[in-house]
Amino acid sequence: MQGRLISRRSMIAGSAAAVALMSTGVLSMQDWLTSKAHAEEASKPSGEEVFASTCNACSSKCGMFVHVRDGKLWKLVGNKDHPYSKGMLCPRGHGSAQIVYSEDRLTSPMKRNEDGSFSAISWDQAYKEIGDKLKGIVAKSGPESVSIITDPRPIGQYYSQRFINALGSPNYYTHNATCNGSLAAGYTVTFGTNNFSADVSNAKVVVFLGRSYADGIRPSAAKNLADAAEKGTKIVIVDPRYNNSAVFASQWIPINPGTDLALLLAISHVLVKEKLYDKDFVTTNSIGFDEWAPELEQYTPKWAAEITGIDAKVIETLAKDLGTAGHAGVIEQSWRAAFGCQHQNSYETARCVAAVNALLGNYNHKGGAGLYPTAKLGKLDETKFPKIPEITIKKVGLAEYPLQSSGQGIVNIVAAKAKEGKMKAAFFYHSNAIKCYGNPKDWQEGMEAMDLTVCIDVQMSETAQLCDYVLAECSYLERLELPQILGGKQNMMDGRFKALEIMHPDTLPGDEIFVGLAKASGIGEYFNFTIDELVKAQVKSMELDIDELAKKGVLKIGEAWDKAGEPVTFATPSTKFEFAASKIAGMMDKMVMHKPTIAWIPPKVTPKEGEFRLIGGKQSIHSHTMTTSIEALMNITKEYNLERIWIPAAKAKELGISEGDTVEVSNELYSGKVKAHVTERLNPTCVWIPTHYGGSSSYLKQGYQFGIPHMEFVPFDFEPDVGPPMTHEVIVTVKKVSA
Amino acid sequence: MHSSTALGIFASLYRRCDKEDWIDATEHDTWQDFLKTVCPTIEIISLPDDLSADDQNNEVVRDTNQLDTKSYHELKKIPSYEKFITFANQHYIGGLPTSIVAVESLFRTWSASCDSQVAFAKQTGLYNSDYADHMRYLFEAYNIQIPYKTLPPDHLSNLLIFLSLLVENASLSDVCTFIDEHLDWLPAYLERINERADKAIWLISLTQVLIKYLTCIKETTS
Ligand code: SF4
Repeated sequence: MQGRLISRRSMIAGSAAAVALMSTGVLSMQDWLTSKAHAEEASKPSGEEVFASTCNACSSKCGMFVHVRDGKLWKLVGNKDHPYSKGMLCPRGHGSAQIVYSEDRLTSPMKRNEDGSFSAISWDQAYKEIGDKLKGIVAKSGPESVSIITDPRPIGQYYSQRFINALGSPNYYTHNATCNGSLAAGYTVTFGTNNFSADVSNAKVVVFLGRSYADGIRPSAAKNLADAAEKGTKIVIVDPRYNNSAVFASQWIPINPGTDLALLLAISHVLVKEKLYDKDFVTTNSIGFDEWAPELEQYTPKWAAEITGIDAKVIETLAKDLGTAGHAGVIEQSWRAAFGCQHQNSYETARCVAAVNALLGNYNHKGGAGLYPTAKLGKLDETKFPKIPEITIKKVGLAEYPLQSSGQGIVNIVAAKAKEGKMKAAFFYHSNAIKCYGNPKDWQEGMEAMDLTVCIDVQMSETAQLCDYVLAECSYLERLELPQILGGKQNMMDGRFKALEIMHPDTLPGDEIFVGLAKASGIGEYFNFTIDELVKAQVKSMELDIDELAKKGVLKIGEAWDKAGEPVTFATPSTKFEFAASKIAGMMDKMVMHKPTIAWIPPKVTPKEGEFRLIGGKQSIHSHTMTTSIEALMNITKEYNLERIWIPAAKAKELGISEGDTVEVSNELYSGKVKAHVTERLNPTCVWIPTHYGGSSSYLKQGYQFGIPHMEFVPFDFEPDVGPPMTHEVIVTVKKVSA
Repeated sequence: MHSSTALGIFASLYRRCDKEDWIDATEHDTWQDFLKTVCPTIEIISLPDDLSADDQNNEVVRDTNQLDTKSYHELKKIPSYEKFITFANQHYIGGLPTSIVAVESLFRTWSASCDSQVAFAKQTGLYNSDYADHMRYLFEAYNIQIPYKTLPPDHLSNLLIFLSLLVENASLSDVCTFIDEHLDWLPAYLERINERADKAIWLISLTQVLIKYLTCIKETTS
């Protein structure tokens, strides 16, 4: 019997060859390392392979090549042909690859125990239990009571949407509502698409509202900015904080946070009053100008100066500089920054950004606001990839927030409806909702109220920690993903190909997890294909070659856009730029705050004496909370005390706070202690914190309880008519705790 | 019991083994034999007749000083398979604050190579370090399948099976080299168990005994 202990499972015992060989002696680790080093010196190791992939450390997903030696990651190199990386990866991209080998990675599917701890379960058990519960919920409460929240990259988009729609539910949500949701909605209603692309390289004057390419980094964008500065482009950074892009700027305007709309209205006022706007464009290619122009009269630079804290002369000069630059003057499109989702007036601010660019007549002009078409995937074989029957019920949240950006959904509605007992189940795919989207306590209450919560992730995020089931995905270098179409002057398709074998055999790629879930939930008929088949079909649908994509990582789609200066047909109901929005005009009975023309909306809260507005932002070495588990990146944070709160110097003096003191930051929702960074580089009405820190998942040791968590201070709220969470409508007090 | 069999039993206890393996390893006679083998300095000097087989912790033992009597007694309290697997499902998997995955790489610098160009090459606490590569190499070189294929090659269970083969087939100095090079992280592992699963007295005792037993193997072989 004892013999079985070894021989049954373990192969060997009877192997004469093995025994004979062993008796010749074992090569020691040290000898092996030495001989390996010599072999590497002598020649390039024969075991080196290179795979085309994309970085996963932020939404940019820069193209890269993964060099693998003997099955292990050897180096990452930016793909020169990829429009986002242009041959470079940022430090975050390099550091975050550590997740592949991280001790904090999940290695098995898990079920939450009653005491909140987790136990490993088999995939079969996970699928069966989830499938049974899900079918029960759909049967009892209807498909509208289930939802999925996902990172809107191709794989998340395709599988999540298909899964939830096949269940009969329209409730597909992305994080965008808490990122660029207000901006996307505001742009769509004015010029018909959810974004544009400022031609920074060719602009004469470019104004950035809160956006910082050097903080929310993308290598190609940062390089463009540096090149533009070199060329002498007037770069104006409007930001309460002297951000890391400001070194390239001709001018820093430390605006009061939440008042960019007032600045833009005053710029519009000057452009119209001084007749510096593009009359041709306005006459032939817009609607609503005549309605709006008289309203602009009230928005003088003097009026705006009171609100923004910017000298009226500075506003006037900026407006004139833009007007003089004409088509080559542009307000940059931004992303989350100052008006992606932060204020009660974010949507209106986005509309006004679009309007200033329209007054400059710069759409599709060199140095202006580019509206480049993005190619769509071709048709796939419906017998292999069957269409999901059309869903007639409306996505939860659409009725309450009718101006929301279509498709993305208002993600915090999931928690709100769960608290009301109307949302019964939620799936989270690559999403740390509770830490990033709205107040964590409200999310926690919502999650606890639901009958089924499931998270698919590589690590135990704060959201996973609260879910009933956590399904362990393999890392991004261990899986094939769907190709992505990249917009811009030259449309392209990139691919992420599997570079490493799956290290933990109880982890699976996301696509396989969805197939397992679908089969257990009675919708397997919509998932009768492999990801290889889907990738091949998608690439073929664009008339591209899969082998070439695997080799080059990125391929051009069609010809480059060359319509600069040609008249634009806008994708709005009127086919023109809309200074007065027809969409809003058609639903005035549902509006709480907005009207067709763009008007001043104040921020929801204003700090009184002794208070600050709490604003947050990104640092170039982290992506939200996702990368705070990476030791290499957290070492940088810790080395340079990057978790500190920025406090304006004059106010710090009044409060007796010096550099490095520990301060307590408080409001009615939360109170936390952190070190102070006292600085002249900040508007005096606010304090600033990086939004990555203050992790509350003890599973992720590096970031656990390090720094303070931004979202804990943010009231659970929705921008009227639009829905994003208004993450900068937060008032706090700050006091010194110790030196 | 031959030391290679004893090492095979140890190998079963650091992974989420199935019930059959668990029973094989902990069945009464085998376990008694195992304890006698791995606790050679423990001498049972009196075992009262009226004690049941399940309750022999009152037996009187003499420890000739190298092994801990307490560990010996703790190891006699064999948990049921259900208890063991519940424990293993919470501790022998990665990514939890309670994880005590017995993988050598997690206690090593990731790469000794000077020209590895990944940012984390010199970090510790990562899977699949050079030590895992070396184990993979050894299994391949000896044409041996990795015993527990679903575990990393440098998982303690795989290391112990490999050692059991060395003990049977290799030179004494190779056995010592292997223990010195691939099993010297066990004291750090023991510390980790104490940090993350301090109530796991049975496993703590097992690991203490394993560390001492490896020393015995080295001493015996030399
Ligand atoms: S910007 Fe940096 S982190 Fe983001 S995808 Fe590119 S290389 Fe990765």
